[in-house]
Amino acid sequence: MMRISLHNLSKYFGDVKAVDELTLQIQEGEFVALLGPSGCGKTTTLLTIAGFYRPTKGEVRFSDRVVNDLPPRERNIGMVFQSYALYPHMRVFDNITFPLKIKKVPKKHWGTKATEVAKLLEIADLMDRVPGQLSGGQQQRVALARSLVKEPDLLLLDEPLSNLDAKLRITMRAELKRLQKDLGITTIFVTHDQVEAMTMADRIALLEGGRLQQVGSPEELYDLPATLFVAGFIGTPPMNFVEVSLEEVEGRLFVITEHFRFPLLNGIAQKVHRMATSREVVLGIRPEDIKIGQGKIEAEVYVVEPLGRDTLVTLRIGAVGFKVLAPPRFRVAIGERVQLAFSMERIQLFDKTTERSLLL
Amino acid sequence: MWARARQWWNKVASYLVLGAVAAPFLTMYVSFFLRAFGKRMYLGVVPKEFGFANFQFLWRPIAWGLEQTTVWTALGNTVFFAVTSALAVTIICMLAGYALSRIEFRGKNFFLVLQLFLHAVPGQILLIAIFFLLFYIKLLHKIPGVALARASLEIPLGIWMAKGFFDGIPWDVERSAMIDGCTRFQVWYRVFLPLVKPGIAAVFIWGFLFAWHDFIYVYTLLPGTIKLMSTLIQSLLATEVIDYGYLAALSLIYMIPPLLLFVFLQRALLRVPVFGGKGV
Amino acid sequence: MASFMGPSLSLILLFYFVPVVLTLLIAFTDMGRTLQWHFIGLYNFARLFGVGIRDPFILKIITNTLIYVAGALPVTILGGLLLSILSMRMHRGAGLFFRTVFFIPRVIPPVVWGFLWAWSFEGTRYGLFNAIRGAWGLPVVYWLIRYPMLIVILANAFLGISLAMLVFSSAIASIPRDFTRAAEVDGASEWQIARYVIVPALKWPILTMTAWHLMSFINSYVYIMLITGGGPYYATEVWGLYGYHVAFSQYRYGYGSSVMTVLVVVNMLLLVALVKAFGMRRMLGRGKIEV
Repeated sequence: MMRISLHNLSKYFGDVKAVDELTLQIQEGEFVALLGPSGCGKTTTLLTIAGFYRPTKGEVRFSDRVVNDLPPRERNIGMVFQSYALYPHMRVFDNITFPLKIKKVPKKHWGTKATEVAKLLEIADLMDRVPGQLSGGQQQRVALARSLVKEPDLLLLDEPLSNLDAKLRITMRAELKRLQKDLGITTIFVTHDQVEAMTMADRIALLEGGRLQQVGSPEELYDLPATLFVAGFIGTPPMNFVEVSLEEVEGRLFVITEHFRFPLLNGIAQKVHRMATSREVVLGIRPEDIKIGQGKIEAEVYVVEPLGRDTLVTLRIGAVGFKVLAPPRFRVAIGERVQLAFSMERIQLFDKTTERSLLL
Repeated sequence: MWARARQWWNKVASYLVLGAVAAPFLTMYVSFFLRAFGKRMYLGVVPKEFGFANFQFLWRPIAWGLEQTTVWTALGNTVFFAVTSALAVTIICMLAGYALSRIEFRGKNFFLVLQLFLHAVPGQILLIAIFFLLFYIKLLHKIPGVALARASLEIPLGIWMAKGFFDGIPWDVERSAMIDGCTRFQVWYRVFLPLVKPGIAAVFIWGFLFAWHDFIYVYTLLPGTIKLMSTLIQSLLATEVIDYGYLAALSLIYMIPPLLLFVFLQRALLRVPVFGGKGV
Repeated sequence: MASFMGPSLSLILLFYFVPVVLTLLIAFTDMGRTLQWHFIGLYNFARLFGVGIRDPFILKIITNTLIYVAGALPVTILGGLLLSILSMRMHRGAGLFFRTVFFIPRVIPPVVWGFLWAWSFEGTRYGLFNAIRGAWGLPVVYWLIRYPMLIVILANAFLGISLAMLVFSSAIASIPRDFTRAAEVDGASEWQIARYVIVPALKWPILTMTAWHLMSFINSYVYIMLITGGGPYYATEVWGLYGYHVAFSQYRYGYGSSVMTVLVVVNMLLLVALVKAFGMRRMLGRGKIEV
């Protein structure tokens, strides 16, 4: 098992800063997601950890050893690629035992090792097929088996679920998580899907534009997003944002817009006092943290979308749209006026220029 | 009405023009076969009988002037020459094509552009120097030496061909092999070569065909006593009395092996592997 | 790295760079049958350019080369254009048939192509075309004596045509059908469609084929050697063939090299001009692994 640390890691391609000053510690046995939209630098980071790219600046450390110049084959890592990258000309058995062959492991051990991982991944009956005859899910299992057969210190997964259909993706999500916990191998995976990251990872590192936005447990990112970007990226439907002004009235801090005003809770107000540099801020509130049918904020129903488990209602307060998750059987007509209440303790506030949270 | 007539006339005119240009060539090609298989020509063009009399060289020696050889010696020499040359082209281009497709190194782009230029420079104008060079390194008048010199002519384009085939393999396959512990050479040998079999066949056929067809290198750099098919036919063509039927038959035999090779290699190697998932 | 590039680099060095340098060096010697180096300064070039001593054949050779290139190049490009446009606008099967007929020269060996022409145009009743003429009671024509240059031009041009036609045809095939349909709807005649739709779309193929064949014809001599051998009496002796004959028939390697040196220099100048004219459009990708 291995600790990984990235220290001010930067990777430039010409003028493009694909990864910019990334610092991140990954503990032994931890399951970490590199999350972000496409082009955010997550895959570049992964390929740099694997050793395919050399850092422009900074260091990659395995345990305490700087491995910047170590070629991939000497890092003892396992990797599953988005396209699985199975060798099309080899049978499944040959694919799985290929790392052993290259490592010059004696041939007599191949069988037992291959059977072991094949059993683990339930592909024992596919050994004689070639990749072209396998379904996407089977190909992925073979790719996993190939990466695990050499007992790597570190497992890297590049968009492991993106080539599977929706149903299989949900099954594999749980299976991968369980497998990682059973084997205890330090694992880093890259995804653009926040649900995948939230469900599987112990910790998420969210990147945007080559920079680390926030790193923390799924709950931390969800409950206390460090930046406007994190707040908007994590959670479906996404968080609602509205520009508001802050005003102090009789010792209490009020949020004020054209259409509503309310005082902040004391705990939040104290943090905001400390952090805010301007009265103009952005307020964020998640759809499930708004209650319909109570409270003092007036809104107009714009669209109602039943989702089964709950109902998604889009409302208008003035010109600003809000999405609210209402109970499943909630019925309301378009154009109807309703009352809203925000869960005060769930409110997020962000600086308008730096886009950083005022609650941290 | 007029438009339709004009359209019809346009169509007929294009058939007439193409037909008129093609006619002499069709006459040549058809007469070539008639001449090879014909016996006792009527008016010198149409055979009165068909037979294999012109193919007597298959079991008799070929003689001209004071010299003589057999078609089998010439075919053997040609096979040796063409296979040596094609092997050299294939191995060299497969090595370089991989590096040019996958490895970053200084001067790579320059090298690739240079190949296009070299391809434009015909080897035949450098023959005197190549003659001297082969003489100097003691490879003149030897089939392998001349085959190597001939191979160099196909390398510029062969490198681009090979690079193209390697370019088609997803980067993830290469990364995967490297993660699995391969050195660059192992990636090339164990993973990439099996995947570009069709490319290997194409480059080999390419190299073989040009060497098989070569005349000027063989004629200039090998002694008159070592006859390949091309120089043998040229020698017979340069004698006082030319038997065109005999030459047509010999030419036909000369043209068969590349066809066989093409059919054979196509069967054996042109199975293209499929890559699963999204190619990256 | 070295193991991948080494073999190709050394072969290119050995058979391109060394020969170019050697050609230039030998051009300043009077190397003969014995292959001995003996530098004689600019003597060979003086003779070549008629300074003091002069080569009596040079003017004839230059004229031949110019006529040959000026004849073969337009026949190749215009012929290729004509054949491809016509064959692409007729019934598919018929077009394919004609394209195959005109592509044959490229797939048969040079000596066989040479044999076909030498046989077809032999000046006795054994020659193919004379035999056919004989069947109609027409007298024998001494083709290779009366029209030697025309025949070598055609023999080479039809080789050029086979390539040009292939390139032009695939370019025509990639012109969207809607373009020509639109022109037809607009009432354009076949000629106008060819002139205003097809030829402009073939601009790049025409330019590259012209450049390619210009270089190819300037340097070519193998087919001439096979069909006429340069004769009769220097009538088809072009520059490259002259260099070859001087070196390998007369064993004057030094002088032959100076003749070839002129071609090497012409090639280099042409390449530089072509690069300037075409620009270096780079189509070279970037590596995705840096080890």
